[in-house]
Amino acid sequence: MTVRGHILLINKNSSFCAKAISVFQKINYLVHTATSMREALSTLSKHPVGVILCENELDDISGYDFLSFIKNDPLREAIPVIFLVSINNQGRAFRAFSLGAADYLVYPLSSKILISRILEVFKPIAEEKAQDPPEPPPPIVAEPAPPADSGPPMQVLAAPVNVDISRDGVLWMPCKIKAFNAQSIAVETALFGKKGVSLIIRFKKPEGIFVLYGRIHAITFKDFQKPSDIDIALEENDAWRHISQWLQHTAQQTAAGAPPSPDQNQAAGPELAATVALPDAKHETTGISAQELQEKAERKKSSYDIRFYNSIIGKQLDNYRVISLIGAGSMGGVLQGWDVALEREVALKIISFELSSKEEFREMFIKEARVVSKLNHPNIAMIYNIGLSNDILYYAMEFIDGVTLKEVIRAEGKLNALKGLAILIATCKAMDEVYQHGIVHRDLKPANIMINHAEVVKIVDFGVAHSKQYKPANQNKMVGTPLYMSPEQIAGLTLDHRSDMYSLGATFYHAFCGTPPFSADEIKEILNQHLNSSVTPLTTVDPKISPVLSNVIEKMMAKDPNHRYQTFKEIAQELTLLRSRLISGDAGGKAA
Amino acid sequence: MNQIVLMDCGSVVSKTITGLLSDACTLRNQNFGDSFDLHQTRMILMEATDPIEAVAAKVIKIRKSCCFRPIPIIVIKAEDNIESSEILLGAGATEVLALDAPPAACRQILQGHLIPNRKPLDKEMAYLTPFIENTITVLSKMAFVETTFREVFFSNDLKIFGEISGIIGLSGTSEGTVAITFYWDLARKIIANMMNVPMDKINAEYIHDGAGELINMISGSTKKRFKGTPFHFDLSLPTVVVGSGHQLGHPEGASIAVLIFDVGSESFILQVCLKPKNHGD
Repeated sequence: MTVRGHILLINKNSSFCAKAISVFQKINYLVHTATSMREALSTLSKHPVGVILCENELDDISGYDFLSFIKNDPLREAIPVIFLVSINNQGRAFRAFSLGAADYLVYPLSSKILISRILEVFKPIAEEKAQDPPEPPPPIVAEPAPPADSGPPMQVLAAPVNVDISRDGVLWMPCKIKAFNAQSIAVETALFGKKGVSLIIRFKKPEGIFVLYGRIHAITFKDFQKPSDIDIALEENDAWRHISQWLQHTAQQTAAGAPPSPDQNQAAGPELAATVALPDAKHETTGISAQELQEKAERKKSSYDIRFYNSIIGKQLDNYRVISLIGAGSMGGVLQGWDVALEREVALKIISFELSSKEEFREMFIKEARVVSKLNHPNIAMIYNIGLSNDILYYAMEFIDGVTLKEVIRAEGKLNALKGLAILIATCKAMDEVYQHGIVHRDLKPANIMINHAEVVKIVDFGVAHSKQYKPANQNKMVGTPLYMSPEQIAGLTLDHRSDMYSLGATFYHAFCGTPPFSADEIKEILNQHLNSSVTPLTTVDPKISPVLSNVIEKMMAKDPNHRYQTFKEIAQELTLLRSRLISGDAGGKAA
Repeated sequence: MNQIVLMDCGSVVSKTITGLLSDACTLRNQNFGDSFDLHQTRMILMEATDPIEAVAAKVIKIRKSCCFRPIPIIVIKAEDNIESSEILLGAGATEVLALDAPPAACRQILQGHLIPNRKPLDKEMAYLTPFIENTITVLSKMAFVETTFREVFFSNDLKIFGEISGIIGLSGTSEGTVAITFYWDLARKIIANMMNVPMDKINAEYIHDGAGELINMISGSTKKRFKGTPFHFDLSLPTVVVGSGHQLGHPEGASIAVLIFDVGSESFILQVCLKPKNHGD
């Protein structure tokens, strides 16, 4: 007999069940019975049931709750549920329909009507692995892959390819492709499944994201501590054809002895845009090995700092819940926090372990907070509080939900004149406030200028700032970011606001033309250019840029501080005028 | 007073740790395999003297014996090595420190791990309570096991240590993830009860269906309670994950509530990460 389909009958009336089984057996339908939700789910997990016949009350739950559960179960919501109730206990048909019942029948009723009404909604489901007999018992569970219909032999990849895998397209797990053939891939992943389960595989490649759809063809796993091996039969489409060719190419290259293609997430070379704290010349040693040793030590130190910041994520410092790490620099880390008392987001700045262990630096950290807290300007991130909790020194400051100028440049290439001018003017106004308080930021760069979602500019990170009232203990060290450092900063001279002006000029040179004023492979070469090379005028790099703007930036970046503007107010005034002229269309024929 | 267990630690490590941690800690030396008081222990420090695989096996056992409590396990090694550290972190270690690491860094890192995980606020309990109640109900009705809710804490550690997890993604007014995680023995008992199958017949397919079904039922029944609230969500397909130390993707910046439940002497956890859209937290 060929079974035409499976029916699940949930009913406590044994004589009715016997009759129903007999009726459907005659037309080659297999009827499974249950009296409780537990039995019903057990049946559903084993058989491809095409319709559920359910009564008002189950042993462990009401029929309505069971119906609701099935209709909320993404795996089973498609199975039609018919309420089949006794004439003596008819229940509430409206409720059943509102919960998703496909039909509502009252028995006794004729076999003919029963069959016709049930087959009307019956949804045949293809039989899968679910019908196989149970596998041998645990603790070791192994389900070997049947090689018979798995297609051509698999080609093994010398280096597994990392991709993402998902059951639903929402939750993604890491996965390694170990082998492939024209129809399928063999992967290793912690995601578990069974034969027939559909999966989505996501490839992130430089040319875009490729999504493949497939079904588990076979799954093997031996140990619950280890990932399982899954063979996935893939749907034939353009994405798979592209990926298949790429896998083929990768396998051939490896076979020919070529090194595997570098991971796109591999760390880049020297980070020229990162803040560095270099020793002054008299402490600097020469020779590559010394430099390498220092870089290694810096990396190691940074690794300990990151580990420390991570150790407090999920914890609470006084009223501040630590949410996530935003970034870490040589002076400290910034974490996203939540003020549980005032119910607002904050940024928490935490001193690095190296500085924390020295009293003078702890004092400096507190002074820095005090200095910045005196700056009351809408374009400067505010400090809310300073605290010491569990021996961890921190201060809470305004959380800026937005992007850095660095990210804007990365996304847009270069800023258009009006947008860039608006940001530069706001920054100059804020820097004027900083200047009025006798503070030198010392690390102005695109990453330290933020623009929030309301398009408000905020200057952040006064971590290396100094003021008339306090000079950091590291003031003799060359501090700043090579791409944007002023000549006097590089030379280790006394700094004033005009050093910040140079850095701001370099920052907006980068913003307006898309490239920094000086660039080279070596940090030393960049520093040398800041000291000795003339900057190429913006109009030469991009003739569309207004000559007025080009001149302003050039003057901000004059080698001699005396040849620069002497206040930020002057720059703001000149640029405001330029912006008005650009808006009115009168900028000497240059619009951008 | 924080009680810190120094497991298999030699005199050098013991002395170093004593010098690093403040007077507010009580240090207790013991060997691997000796029992320790879970309620009193705030941190376990273990010196890695064996080959790395053997140390990882020990870490797995210690992590399991912590019954999902957030007790930091710090492994101290002779020297830093990223590869072996990854193995140990994957096995359940919270941190791997080298003896040659700067003492100031070690002190700060240990200090950070000693801060207790935060407890939920009242408003957070409001959305966690339906999950707690429904977990107990589903386990009782579907698997006939008496479940007791023990404690909840918040964590931002995305790693799950256990052997079998059923995970479901949430989307809609709120987004996030809910995951139930068991060790194998308890999973087998519960799923055998649920599926009405003898324990020795539980195979991979039952585990897959059972773990998926459980998280689906818990989330599905809780979903109804949130209708009309900012926490309302829709469910995606359940995903089942095997192995330890796997990481879950959660919405950025969201905290994960870890709810620990006891079934007799065994435990399981429900991780709830639910973040209403357009909400500050």
